[in-house]
Amino acid sequence: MELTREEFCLFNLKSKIQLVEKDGYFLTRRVSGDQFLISLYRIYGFFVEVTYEIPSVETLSVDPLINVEIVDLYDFKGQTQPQAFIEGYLGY
Amino acid sequence: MSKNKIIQTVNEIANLAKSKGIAHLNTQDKKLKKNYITLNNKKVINFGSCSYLGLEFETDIKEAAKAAIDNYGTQFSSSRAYLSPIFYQSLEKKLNEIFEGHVMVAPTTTLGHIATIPVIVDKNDAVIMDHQVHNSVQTAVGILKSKNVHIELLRHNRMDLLEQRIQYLRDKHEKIWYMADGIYSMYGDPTPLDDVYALLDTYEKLHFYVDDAHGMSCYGDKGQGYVLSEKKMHQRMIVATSLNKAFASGGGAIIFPDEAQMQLVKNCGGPMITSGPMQPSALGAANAVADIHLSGKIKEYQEQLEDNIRYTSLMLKKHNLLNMAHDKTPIFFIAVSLPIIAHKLIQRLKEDGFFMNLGIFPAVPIKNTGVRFTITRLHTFKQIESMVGRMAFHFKEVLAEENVQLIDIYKAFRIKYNPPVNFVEKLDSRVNKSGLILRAYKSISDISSEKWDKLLGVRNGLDANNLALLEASFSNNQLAHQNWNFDYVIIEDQKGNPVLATFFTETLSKDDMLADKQISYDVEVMREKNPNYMVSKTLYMGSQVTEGNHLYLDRASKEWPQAMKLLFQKINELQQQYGPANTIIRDLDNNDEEMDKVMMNNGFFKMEMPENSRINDMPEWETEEDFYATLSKKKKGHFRRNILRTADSFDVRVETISDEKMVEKYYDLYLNVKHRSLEINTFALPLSYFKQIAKNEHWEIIALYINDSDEATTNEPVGMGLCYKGKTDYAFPIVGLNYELNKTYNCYRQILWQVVKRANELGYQNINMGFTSTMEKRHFGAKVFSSCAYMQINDNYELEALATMSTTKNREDGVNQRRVLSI
Repeated sequence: MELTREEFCLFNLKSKIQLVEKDGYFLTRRVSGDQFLISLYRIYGFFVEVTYEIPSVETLSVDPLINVEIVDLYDFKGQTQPQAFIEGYLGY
Repeated sequence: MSKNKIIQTVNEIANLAKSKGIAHLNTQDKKLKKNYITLNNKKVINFGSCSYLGLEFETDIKEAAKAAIDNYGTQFSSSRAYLSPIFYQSLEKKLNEIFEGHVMVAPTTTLGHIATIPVIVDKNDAVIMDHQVHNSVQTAVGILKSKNVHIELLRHNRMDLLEQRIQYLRDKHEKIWYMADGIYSMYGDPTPLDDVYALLDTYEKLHFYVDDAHGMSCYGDKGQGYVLSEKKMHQRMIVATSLNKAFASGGGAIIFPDEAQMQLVKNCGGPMITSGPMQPSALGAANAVADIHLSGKIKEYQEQLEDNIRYTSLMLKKHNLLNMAHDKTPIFFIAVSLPIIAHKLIQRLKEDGFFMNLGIFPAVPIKNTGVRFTITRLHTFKQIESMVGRMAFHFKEVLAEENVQLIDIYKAFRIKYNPPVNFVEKLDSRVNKSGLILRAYKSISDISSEKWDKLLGVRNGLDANNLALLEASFSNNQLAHQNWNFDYVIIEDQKGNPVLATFFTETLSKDDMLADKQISYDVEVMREKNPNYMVSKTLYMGSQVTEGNHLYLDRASKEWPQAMKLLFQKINELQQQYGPANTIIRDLDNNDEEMDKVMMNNGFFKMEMPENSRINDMPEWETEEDFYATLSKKKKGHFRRNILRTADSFDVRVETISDEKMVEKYYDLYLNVKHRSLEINTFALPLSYFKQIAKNEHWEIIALYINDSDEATTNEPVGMGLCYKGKTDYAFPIVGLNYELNKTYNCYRQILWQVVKRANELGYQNINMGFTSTMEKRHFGAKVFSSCAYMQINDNYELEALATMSTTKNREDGVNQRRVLSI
């Protein structure tokens, strides 16, 4: 059962991670300034960015995208590769 | 309803749930893994745990429990009055810090209440309990009865009534104790703390005793519970809590505002002196859990639980499941209304791998039955989502099977139903798969008397003629309780064959109608000041003045269960129309287990009716001597002493009454009896009923006059029996007496004899002699028959108030010390 973006935002970080793991579809990822790995997921009809710290892989935030233009920052070519990479990296 | 009758009902409800495999279950697991349990060889997710934070699997806590056993063994068996193991001291110190009060640890919360309440409440105090306060508090308050402490029951969370009662009681009592739960166990709703604190600030005599078992650990930065996270400890307040639920160890804790009170209870509270201590394992675990509370880590656990609660609430909302519980607590209560729906839902969810609880009478009114479940930190969103999804699926299926509409459930819980009612859908369910057709009528005159009498007319007083008389009698009267609404139902199969027939009356009646005499006596004392005290609208199958089985049901028809379903729908409609507090289906066979199940599944619980006396198949006799010869030796003695000895004193007249003044005389005799009789405590019948009877050829009166030279005496009746000449039975439902002369002349016994004699003269072999005085009636060959009633109560409050009164020790003058608040 889907949640709205507002409902999603009611949850704390751990719960948001749980929701993304349960219902999210990984799309692609990017690296920001060598310090952060940011993954883009589609969930319940909106997008969320999951930010991990490098190299600890600690999840720092899970935030819905408010500005869709941010999607342009991502490279969508060969997106299955990054997914496998990230999942391996995170130990999933 | 007495306490014993409530116990009997609860027992029947529990046995039914047990037989359906949804209660009194046992796990089969040798080792538990998180929130999975195995029931009947099936692995299911536990949605019934009160360990809301899931601390029981924390390694540190388990290790602490093991270490305590290693160091102290399985038990340190000594009364705490003599010696406590080291763990207590450290635990109480940590709990003092958590609660910022003075804490006494007890072996269980219940024993904590039992230790505390009798010590802190003095005989000059008054206790006001919230109607839904936990049973363990009520148990401890029960001990106060021996001190004759004034105790009242308050409608749930009604702070306006609480203030009224404080104002009334404050001049009569030294302290007024209000006892409540922090979070109530069934609907998870909190006590209105702001209001209670405002009252504490306003009324110096008010003291607050609150059981916060379900709030413990889940709220507050140190997990101090709901109450103490919302408010600071008040100086006139005592908080009890459990270490068994979210605290996940064992025992209970009582928090006092000062050390002196705490020490007083430790010194004098019964279980603190004589009961054993907590086991070292539980104490070791409790110390480790307290450490988690003080470390700040508890906040993280609370947040996880909070999100699980939030997610569950969202899922329920999206699936349109009606959650009656407070949305901030881990307790959920899905409204389903009828027990049969809850049973089926819980059974099917168990099959799908989810264990849930039944929320049923006496915890909630029977028609407010629900599926109760709890959420813990250990649940995952995936578990929650799949459970709610399956529940929504089964819910729709079960409603369709039981012909129940969503709107009916909203109405049962008195919640506004916003979506428009789909009329066609409603109609479809009414003309159900079996093709049975329900015909409803507002008056007996709308039904062919020939048709009706074939079904119910053969039964005593249920023929069309007498029902028309009842309609005429119980309308257009001045007093509200003397005006009834009538509804008739006939259910036929597709060929037009009747499967079921009955009638209903709706009227005001006394809640203590079937209660013990002593209770009715006490309630009548209250009614002298307030005539509407414990008076409620009641929907009867049958009526208050007719007797016997009022339900024609063709049990040979395969469609009778379906007909019963339609009948319940009709009852539901009538309940919506009239809004009765009680619905009573009267005088059914006491030994019909099949009917018991049907009734219980549909939210009716069984009560025994007072015994009814009948003479069946009376042998033919011509003279008094012939009748005398049929009696046993003992009965012959009685007949000689009590009938024959005074027989010549009476002038017996069998008459129909035409003179209105005579009607009034007979009515006065009836009132003499009515005012003395509390066994079945009903309102007195109206004079209009007697006037209608006087005009009706099927009724006659057997009147006794004294043979005397004094004209004044000979023209005054001293006793009378109003008798109905039915198709197969002669019935004697109403009696009137002059009690002053009854002692001298044995008028009542003479009336009984004259009834038997008259029935014989008219050729009746069956005599219905009515309720009460069964011993007297046996002397004339009557046998006692037991029947039962099935009852549905919309609101448990009055019922529990009566039950509370029934357990009260009465003073010598017969006046009950305890009072119960009216609405």
